[in-house]
Amino acid sequence: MKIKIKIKTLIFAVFILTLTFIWAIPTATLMIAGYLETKDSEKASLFYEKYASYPTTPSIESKYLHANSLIRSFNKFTIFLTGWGGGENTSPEDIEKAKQILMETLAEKPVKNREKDYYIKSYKMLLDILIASGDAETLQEWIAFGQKGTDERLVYTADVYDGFLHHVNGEGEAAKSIIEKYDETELKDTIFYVLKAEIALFDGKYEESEKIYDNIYKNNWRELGKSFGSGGYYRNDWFDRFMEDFKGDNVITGTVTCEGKPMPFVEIYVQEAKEGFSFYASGENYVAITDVNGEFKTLGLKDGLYSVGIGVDGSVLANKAFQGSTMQYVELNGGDGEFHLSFRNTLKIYSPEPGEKLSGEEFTVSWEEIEDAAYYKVEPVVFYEPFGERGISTRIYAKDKNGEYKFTENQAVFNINMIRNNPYITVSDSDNGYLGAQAVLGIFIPGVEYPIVVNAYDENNNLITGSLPLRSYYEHIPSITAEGSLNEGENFIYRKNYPAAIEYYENILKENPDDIDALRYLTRIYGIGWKEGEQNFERAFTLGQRYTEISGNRELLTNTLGGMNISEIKENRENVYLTLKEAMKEPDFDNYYFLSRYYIAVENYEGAREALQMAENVTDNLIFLNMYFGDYKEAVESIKSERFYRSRLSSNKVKDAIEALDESPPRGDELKVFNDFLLKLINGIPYGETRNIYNKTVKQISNSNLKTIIDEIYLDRNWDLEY
Amino acid sequence: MDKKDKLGIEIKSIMEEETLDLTLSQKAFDNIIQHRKKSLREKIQEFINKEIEIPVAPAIIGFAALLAVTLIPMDIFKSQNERIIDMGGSYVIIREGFEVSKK
Repeated sequence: MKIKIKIKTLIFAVFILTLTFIWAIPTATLMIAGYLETKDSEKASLFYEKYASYPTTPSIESKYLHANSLIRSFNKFTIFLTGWGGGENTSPEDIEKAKQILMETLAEKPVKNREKDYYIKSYKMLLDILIASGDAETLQEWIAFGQKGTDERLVYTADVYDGFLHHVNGEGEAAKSIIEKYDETELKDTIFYVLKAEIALFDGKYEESEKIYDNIYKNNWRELGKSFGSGGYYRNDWFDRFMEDFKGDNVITGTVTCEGKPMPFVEIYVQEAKEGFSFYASGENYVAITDVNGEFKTLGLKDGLYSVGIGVDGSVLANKAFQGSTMQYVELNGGDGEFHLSFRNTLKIYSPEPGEKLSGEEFTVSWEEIEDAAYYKVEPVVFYEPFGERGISTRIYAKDKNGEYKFTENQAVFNINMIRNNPYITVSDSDNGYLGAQAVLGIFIPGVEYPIVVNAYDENNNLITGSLPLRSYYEHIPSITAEGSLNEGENFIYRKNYPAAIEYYENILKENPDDIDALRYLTRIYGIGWKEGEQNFERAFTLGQRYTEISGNRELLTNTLGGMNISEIKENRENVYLTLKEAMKEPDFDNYYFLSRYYIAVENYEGAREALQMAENVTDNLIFLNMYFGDYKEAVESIKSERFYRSRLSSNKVKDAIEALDESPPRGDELKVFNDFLLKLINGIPYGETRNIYNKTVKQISNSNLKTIIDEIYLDRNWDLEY
Repeated sequence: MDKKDKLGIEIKSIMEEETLDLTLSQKAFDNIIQHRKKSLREKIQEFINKEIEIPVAPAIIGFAALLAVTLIPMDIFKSQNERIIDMGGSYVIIREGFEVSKK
């Protein structure tokens, strides 16, 4: 169809269209972007980008709006040794893009006042990004750029950030001179007052600082969320908490490094060790911030055991693995403390690549060599729900085709059938608490994607680095998906129709009692129990022993029964003994834990202690057993061991109390009460009874050292949080 | 110069006198009008009043496409939904549209 139209009408239409494209569309795009931003939509930045791309839109303003939409907030990713999380999910790519946009903007020459306003905003945002991303060198360059400017607001902004840099570096006088320079001018804005408050705070002038923050909060609280590249300046509630719970005279000093290089502008947080781990969605309030050398010194803290955490922008962690710290907690007891935390760059996995499909039985994992690594472990990630939402996951070490799991070379070859044949995970799916299919079928179920992680360890079993950064994108992680399909019986297991699977495989055994798959799957189903109360240990032992005879593989039984609790071991002690007797012919390090539990079940505590001494790591039970036998010196040595995962029990408070027991051992009834308490711990105290047992025990004890130990155990195990 | 002007005026006057009672047929009049030299304004007038035929469908599609290209960002239909999962102690972000493999 055609329409007739006069040319003058057409010209009018073109004029209207031009107006639409020059004015209406950019305006509409900006409005859409603004609307999406209020809805917290990620797509807002796409519309801001579009808005900035129109040749008719104001360049500086539109670029600033685009960069601003990419960053959104500077809330930190919080890392305590007991857990981590939170923060804004700004990707490193977006951070880089925002930086580039802002640097381009700052190359322009603003003329109109509105342009100048956005120019200053762009400048400030660039400096904030540089602080958030810990780039002290570039920050200094851009501060110098601003200080050389002709616009007084630009020079003022540069000076205030210079003041912040001085403050962070502990150059208080230089920072104060900048405050004095602008204190009587009209240029002052929120960042000025934040800097003034922070200088007062770290000078110990808490009241003055609180007063300034109160004023900022009343007048311009929104700006607090984006000051100096942090969302952590909402200190109005923090003062009360800090004054009441933390303020004292001791300081914690330390460093935060990556590959031995300093990490500047890392925020340092403290929590009472007993609190466990928690973080505020809007970000923590720091008690110290690292300087350009990665060093920090906290505000004065009172005596106590502290969990020390850090806050960094999540984008910084995209290529970093958390190496850990010299200690889990920092103890302040009439003196200062130290805390050092380090990151390493992640190691690169060369093979497999992300999303790799496996058609055969074997696959090779190869990785970058790490200079100081004593050995490596390859750890596939197992999601409890193999398909779908990918919720809870666990990492398990994989044995290669030679049965090794610690690799000194930088590659290893794995056979998926070997890994499937020795399932050593016990996962329950969320549905009805039924046993997860992978606990029976093993991992590398056909069609399921398994991310592969490689970790490097030193000779003391300390993690040096790994392939998985603290924060990463799933599509970047190497993974293996095995091809193939499940048979009828395996499908019953996969769908968690365990009664049907049991019937199916029991029928197979009637025809062929040596069917290896039936023996393996039924040993797992009976041994772990497909749901609570559905274990059949007798049948599991029978089938598992037959499986061992046929295959020569002892691991299936020990892997299956290693999770039995003390009372289950007691009830099946004969079969457990036989299983362990076989396993100990070629003991795996896991077997020692199982063996110790067997000895505990048969009340051979000396045997349990010996077994735990042979295990790979020092456990709480070994410390308790050493104390139970009155070997307090050995208990302290266990705590000091590199093989002990540091906890509240590794505090000097506990060590001193145990050493005092060595010098002056408790006697009589108190010793008996204490040893009874230890035995209860060794045997496992049922959930819900912990607080009662603690209360009963402490009532009968007057010895301060015993009390200290019991109290610390109580706090370490979070019994105070149980309900 | 003066002589020439006087002659011109005289000829014009004779012409006007002789053609005073002359009546042109409509056809002749139209013919003259049609073949006379047009002014620029008349030319523009004529041009802008000229009717042209525009195919409706391509025009609408073209306009809509231009509008879409100008207004809608390229990546708008690319899903940006993100889910965060804990993977063995690491924060892993699953971005829809970036999955490396699917079941």
